[in-house]
Amino acid sequence: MKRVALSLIVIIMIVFLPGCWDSRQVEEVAVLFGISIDKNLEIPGHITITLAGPTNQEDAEKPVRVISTSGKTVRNAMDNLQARKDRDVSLGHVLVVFIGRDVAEEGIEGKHLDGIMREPLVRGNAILATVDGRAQDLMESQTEDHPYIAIFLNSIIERAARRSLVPWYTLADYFQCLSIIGRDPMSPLIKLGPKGEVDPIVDNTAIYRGNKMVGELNQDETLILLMIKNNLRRGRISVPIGDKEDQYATILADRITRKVKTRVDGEDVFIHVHMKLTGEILELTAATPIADKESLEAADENVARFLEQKSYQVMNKLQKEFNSDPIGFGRYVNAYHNEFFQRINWREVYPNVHFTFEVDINLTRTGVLR
Amino acid sequence: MITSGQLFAILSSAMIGTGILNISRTVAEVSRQDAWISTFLAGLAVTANTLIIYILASRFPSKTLAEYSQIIMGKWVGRLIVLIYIVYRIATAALVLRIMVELINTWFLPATPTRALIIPALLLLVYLARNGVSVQGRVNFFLFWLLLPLMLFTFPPVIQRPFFINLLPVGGTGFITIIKGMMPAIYSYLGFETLLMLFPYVQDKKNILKASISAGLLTTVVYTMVVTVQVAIYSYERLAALLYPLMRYISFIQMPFMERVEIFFIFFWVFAIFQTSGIQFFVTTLETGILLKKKDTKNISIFLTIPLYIIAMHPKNIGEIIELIGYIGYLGLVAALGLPVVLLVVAIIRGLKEEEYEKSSP
Repeated sequence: MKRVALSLIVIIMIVFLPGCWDSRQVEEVAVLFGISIDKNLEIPGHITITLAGPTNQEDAEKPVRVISTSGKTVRNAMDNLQARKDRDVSLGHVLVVFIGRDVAEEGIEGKHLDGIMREPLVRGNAILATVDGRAQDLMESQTEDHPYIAIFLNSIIERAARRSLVPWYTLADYFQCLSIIGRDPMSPLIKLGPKGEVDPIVDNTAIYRGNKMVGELNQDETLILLMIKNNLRRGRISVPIGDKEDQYATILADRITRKVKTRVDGEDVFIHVHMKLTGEILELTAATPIADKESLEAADENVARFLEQKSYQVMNKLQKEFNSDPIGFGRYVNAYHNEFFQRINWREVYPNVHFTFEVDINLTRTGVLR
Repeated sequence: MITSGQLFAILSSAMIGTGILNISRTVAEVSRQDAWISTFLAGLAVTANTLIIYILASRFPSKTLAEYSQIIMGKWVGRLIVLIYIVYRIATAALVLRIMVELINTWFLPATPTRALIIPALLLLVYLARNGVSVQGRVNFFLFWLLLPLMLFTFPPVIQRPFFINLLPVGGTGFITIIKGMMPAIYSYLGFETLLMLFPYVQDKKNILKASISAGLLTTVVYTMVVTVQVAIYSYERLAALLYPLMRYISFIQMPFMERVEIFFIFFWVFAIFQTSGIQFFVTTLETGILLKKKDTKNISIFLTIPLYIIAMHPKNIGEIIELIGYIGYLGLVAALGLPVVLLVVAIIRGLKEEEYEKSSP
């Protein structure tokens, strides 16, 4: 009797327990890989978002579907899109969020990103990228290399970040920079090729002051920025070498250590940055062989001075032209001169900080040629 | 009866449960970049308090708190003390369960009603509590060693981006702020006071001190580590905006073979949270049994689910849950830190020990 009762209970449980309020079949979910956010050109104050994801339909013509929609906020726009879709739109697979330049320059607001950050399904390492132009155009552009434009762009950015062409920058980094004083956001800046023809170009950096984009750095400047920020990873740069014009050594450089020393004297702030790098020579257009001890050491010196000089130029741009502190020197002053930092307005002090840079590079290899 | 190894697992799971989800925020709101110092000091204070509980309990080695509090303070005051413990534990068990449900609702089952998740959990709690202390010991021992490796997930993000600059200047917030920050930290450590009720059930009494001190130190290490890495990665300013900082933190991890590490983590961590609730609930049934002078505590657990359910369903929103946890924290400070000291002092003054008491009252 007991056994029969038990079996009955088990059978009833099997029937009722699998029922689930939240059952969602895979076929009912519209997966997204990327979102772009632009200003709406017709309705002031509204935003246009473009979503890209797979069509999930075997007989579909193209594997990817790109849809634009608009609304008051990013969530509102997504709900407006939902009205046109037979599947539940899910943010769980978003790899990258693109911000159009017009939005970035006017300032990224809560209506653009809060709805994405608040969603628990969004992955913590989704990346943020700024687009030089309308992000919608980027999402709608076609590439031969990959069927899904968002995944394609995500892996380009990842690859570029691995060579220090752009910073690796996530949404979480962005929000963290906004919530603290003493470090400004930045992001990869993607340049569009002519519409529908050429692939996008990923080797620039957008510099923000608070939530507003204030300027951009080109490929070489980005490398220097990342070097000062101690994020340099296998970065490549061409350095003029020798006494003749048009002679270059292309260097592959990696970071070893970076030390930041801060000193406050009255109201003046002095920051000394000492960077140690290692590198190898990838290319040398000068005819003389270089692989003897003296000339390699001379090349070390040459490259180091060049990188120092570039550092001053980039820092000058960041301080005077952009008044933005993406490297986060404010955090160092806060850490080592806390009372001083609490007293001052970093935004006003930063442009007048006295920087000195010192680079040590050790070129270890020259490839298979002398 | 349980072994001292099982006691270690029970005490650790009672402490590390929901606290780990947001300890970094609650402490960093007060003591900012020095949150890790507050957490560490709070852990040491808690471990020291475990020592006090041990000294108190070893005066009455075969009795639980519910019994000897009536011996020390007299019948009525003693019963009042037991009642305080019961209220505190029921409320803790209920709110821990509610937080577990909030987590499940946020990540897995957004449309499932709270009720539908709490009721099955209550059934499980009763099932666990009815089977007595040795089953509690075994379940906790098993789950503890199963879940401890999950702590490894707190390492990868900080190795990827070692920004310890956010922890500087060390001690910059001042001594008083650091001490103030210990308060929210101690809330997260609550749970060690279950030792008061479990002491007589441990077989090898010699190893109790070792087991409980090591549980306290392990929790201290885990919490200090979690707070340190999160303040380092996020900075305390950003932590203030995050409801479940640990989850966001774990979601930074990128693994080639697993896409969403935080979901994997929550899936298993739900067991740990459930156990925290389970231990408190079980201990309550023991206390209630003694208070009502019932030998058989099995059926008490069924009646205790009613207040548990009411408290768990009471908060209307996440803000109310956080507020209620604050109040329970105050009660916990009284129950876990205050009362054992008072009881010990009175017991020493009155010279009460188990053998002597037994002699004087035939």
